[in-house]
Amino acid sequence: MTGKFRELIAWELEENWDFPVLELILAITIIQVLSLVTLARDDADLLANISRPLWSSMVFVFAISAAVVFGRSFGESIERRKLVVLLSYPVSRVQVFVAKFLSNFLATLCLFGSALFVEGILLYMFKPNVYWLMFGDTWIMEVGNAPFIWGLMFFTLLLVVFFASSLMTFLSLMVKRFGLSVLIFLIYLFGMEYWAGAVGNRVPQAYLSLSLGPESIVRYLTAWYVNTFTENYMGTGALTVGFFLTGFCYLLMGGLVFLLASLILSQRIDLD
Amino acid sequence: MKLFRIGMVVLVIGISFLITTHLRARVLDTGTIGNYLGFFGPFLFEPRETTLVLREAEPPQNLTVAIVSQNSWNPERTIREADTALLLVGLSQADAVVFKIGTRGLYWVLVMTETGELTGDTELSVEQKGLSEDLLWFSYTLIIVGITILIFQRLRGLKHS
Repeated sequence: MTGKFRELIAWELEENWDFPVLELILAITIIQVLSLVTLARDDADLLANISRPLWSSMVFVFAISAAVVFGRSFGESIERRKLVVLLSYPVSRVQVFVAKFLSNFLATLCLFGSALFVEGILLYMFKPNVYWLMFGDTWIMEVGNAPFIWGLMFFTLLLVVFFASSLMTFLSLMVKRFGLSVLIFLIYLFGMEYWAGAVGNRVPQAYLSLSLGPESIVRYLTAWYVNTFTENYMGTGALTVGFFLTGFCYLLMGGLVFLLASLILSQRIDLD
Repeated sequence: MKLFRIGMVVLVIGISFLITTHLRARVLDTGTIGNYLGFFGPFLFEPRETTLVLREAEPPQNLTVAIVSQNSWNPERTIREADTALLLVGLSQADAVVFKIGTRGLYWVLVMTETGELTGDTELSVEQKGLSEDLLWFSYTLIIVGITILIFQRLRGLKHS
């Protein structure tokens, strides 16, 4: 990493995560994550009691955080001509774009990742006998397999944050306005949540939701892990490979397409 | 400026924990649970008000309820091996007891007769309500540390100016 690039990242973090952005996101994340955990249940199920409520309650936090962080970083810096000033220094547009996106993406991921990590610590400190009660009374997993599922949750978190970051970056560069880009982003995300929630879970488009999609990724890959690497069997119920791929590809391919489009847009955008 | 941010972040985490502690104060109730073995759990007991109601027990009188840590006992071991965190003696069927466990953790609830044997047909319910003391103290500590850092930063700023 060159010195110039490092300086750009440091500048971005200092500028974009200044008081009270970091504090606000921290507060919302802690309150959302820690208040949903039902640890006192004797029959805690990692997928049903932890994964499902986490994704459904965190959609709001992902959306607001991505909107504020990436909207400020790209939309507001164009609106207030900070980007023009930044580009007057001997740095290329690609360098500025990559530094901005990478620093904000990693900071957001660290923040949510640490919340998930704390939740995991709490779970294993206070509920070490958690098991996975999937269907009827069949105990299908041992506690030793939990790190794999936790790893899956981190991986899915990465996908969700990547998608939300790329989409918001694209919208900010497209409309060049902070407020308008936030509005379009939130209408799109919550509109999708509403629409996907209304069609039921037996059609692929339901898995375009940021709550059901990640949950299905964790559940499907857990079932694959159980059936491939252990002697147990775990069914996936209504969740088919097509539904899983819908959720997975929407987040991964959608994120990549929006990121690429943002990169191209950042090269051609008129800043005057 | 860095010290100000550190202080603010610690303070915000403390306040968020305090809010979370209040949000988690909702009542958790097991409902009536029963079995023929005389032991229940393990339950996660938080250091907050816990109410145990002995709805039914066989025999119905001179009962002892022991709360034992999950680490010290499991259903394959004898009761004598159990490390008792709390012992409630002289209870009868339909009695309710309110207690507070000092340390958060997983505990078994054992219902025994006066001779120290586990009871037969037993039904009880456990309810937890109120604020968790450990989370409350943790949030108070963070809030105090955050405020102290902010005051220190302010005093240092005044000194320099």
